[in-house]
Amino acid sequence: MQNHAKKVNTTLSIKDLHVSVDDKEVLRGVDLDIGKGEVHALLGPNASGKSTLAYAIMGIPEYKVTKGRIYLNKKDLTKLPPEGRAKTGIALAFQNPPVVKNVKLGDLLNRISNTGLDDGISGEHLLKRELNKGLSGGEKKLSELMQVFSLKPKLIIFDELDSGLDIEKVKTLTSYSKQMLNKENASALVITHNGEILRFLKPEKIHVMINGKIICTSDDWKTVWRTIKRYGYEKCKKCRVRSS
Amino acid sequence: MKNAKSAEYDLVDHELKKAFADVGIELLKIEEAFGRYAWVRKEIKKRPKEGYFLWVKKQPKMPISSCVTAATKKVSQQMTNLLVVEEGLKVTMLSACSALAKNLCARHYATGKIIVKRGAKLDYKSIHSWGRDDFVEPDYEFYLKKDAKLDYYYKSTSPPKRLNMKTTVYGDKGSSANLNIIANAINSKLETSDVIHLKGDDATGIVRLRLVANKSSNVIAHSKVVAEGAGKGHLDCQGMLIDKDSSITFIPEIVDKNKDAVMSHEASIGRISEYEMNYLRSRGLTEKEVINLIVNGFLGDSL
Ligand SMILES: Nc1ncnc2c1ncn2[C@@H]1O[C@H](COP(=O)(O)OP(=O)(O)O)[C@@H](O)[C@H]1O
Ligand SMILES: [Mg+2]
Repeated sequence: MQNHAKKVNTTLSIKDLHVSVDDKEVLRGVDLDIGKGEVHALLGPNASGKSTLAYAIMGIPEYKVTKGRIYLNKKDLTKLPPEGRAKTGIALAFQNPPVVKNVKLGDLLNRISNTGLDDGISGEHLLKRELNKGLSGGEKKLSELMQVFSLKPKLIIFDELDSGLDIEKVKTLTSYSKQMLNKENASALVITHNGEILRFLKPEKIHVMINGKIICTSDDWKTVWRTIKRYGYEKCKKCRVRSS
Repeated sequence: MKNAKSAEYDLVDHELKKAFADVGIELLKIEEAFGRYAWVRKEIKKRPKEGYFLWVKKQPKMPISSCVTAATKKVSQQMTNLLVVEEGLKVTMLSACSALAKNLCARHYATGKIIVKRGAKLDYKSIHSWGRDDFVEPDYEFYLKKDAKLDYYYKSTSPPKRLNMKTTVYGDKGSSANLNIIANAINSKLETSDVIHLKGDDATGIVRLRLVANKSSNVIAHSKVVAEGAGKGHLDCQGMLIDKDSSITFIPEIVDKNKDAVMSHEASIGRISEYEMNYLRSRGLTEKEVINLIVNGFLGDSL
């Protein structure tokens, strides 16, 4: 197992994070470091706490940090509201974005955008539509990408970008995202429970979350994904490729 | 300089600042018209104090505007307005009522009678912007003669402490009335009552309410259509409740006295869900900014 020789600045750093929702502890001590410009994948079975981690990083109030710290470029975000974190440079592409009636995507983009609309993505036809109203699965993801990239963030969390999409769509959206991340030298945490996206993503690191803990971190996404595909997540606990 | 108005009436407190009209439009102080014309006395009955008399006899090239402003503390305006649009003409009326400062404790009472004659069309746009201690009570009656058409658009951008608004429409055969009443109540008590009487066959009456209650506001909206002829009536009442100390009451009422009339209504009151709020906050907007964005979208930024 070879490690990255080059020293990278850490963009996101999470230390011993415990998060409760509805008084139930969902994350039970998560540590995670993502270097500048790096793409990390987070895998795990349903209900393991992946979205909870995403919401906790974004600062969604329901997801209460009971212990631990979240840093972006060494700045402690743990007490900031979501809008403060967005301004610091964190963006989240939601797994299930809500319908917001009476607000058009174009108007929101005008309001929040730190950049013009990038023409690398063909989303113009969505600008006049109310946010997520009547959009197909693919259109919702496209709308999410347009929003998060318009913010020019330093770290983007993609929560199940691939769910419910055919493989061609996954490929298009992933390659667009990679291109944008490269251009901005931004970092990404890509959450998925279906490893197909990894082929297009080629992440620098892969993490496996089970039961609110990251139980495996590796540079070798291929071996990890092959193991999960063959033996299921349960085998991860005893896995030999673990190298964190 | 070319004038962008065909007639203009401009009143500040009780002082007439401007009154002009192109040929074909008669603009008088209502007190004068009351003395001059017997038919005006019949229409208005009670001797008026202040207000305008506008009689549109020829097709105007430009909109007609009326601007009424409260400028001094505790001023009390008691307007009586009469607008007559002759047969077949198309008129756009722009009406603005406002307070110059937020803290005047002004009172503004207005009774209006608007007669749209056969086949004429009136676009009536009314923008209100008041101070937080003002008391405002408009009471307007629209008479639509055969095949006349009214598009009425009322928008309250900055609401008074109390708004009591009455709007009544009488529609003859083939007439059509579209009422849009749009208001964002912030720390205010807002009571609207509109009634459309579809007197003749094929008359149409549609009411569209878009009302927001925010910061301890109470909104009560009573909307009613009465079909005497075989007309078509529809009430579309939509509200948005922002904070926990506000309330909205919708009372839509459809009265059908003709078996061939088509009547319907819909009413709903929405709110901004926690999830929507968090979603938009994660895009960098504060709670206040999210409310503004959604409310502005709901109220529409047309006009
Ligand atoms: N808003 C919430 N209210 C109650 N329980 C929640 C909420 N969000 C997540 N959970 C619970 O937390 C656990 C982890 O959920 P989640 O983070 O969505 O998992 P994943 O994204 O890995 O599928 C689940 O048991 C789920 O029911
Ligand atoms: Mg999830």
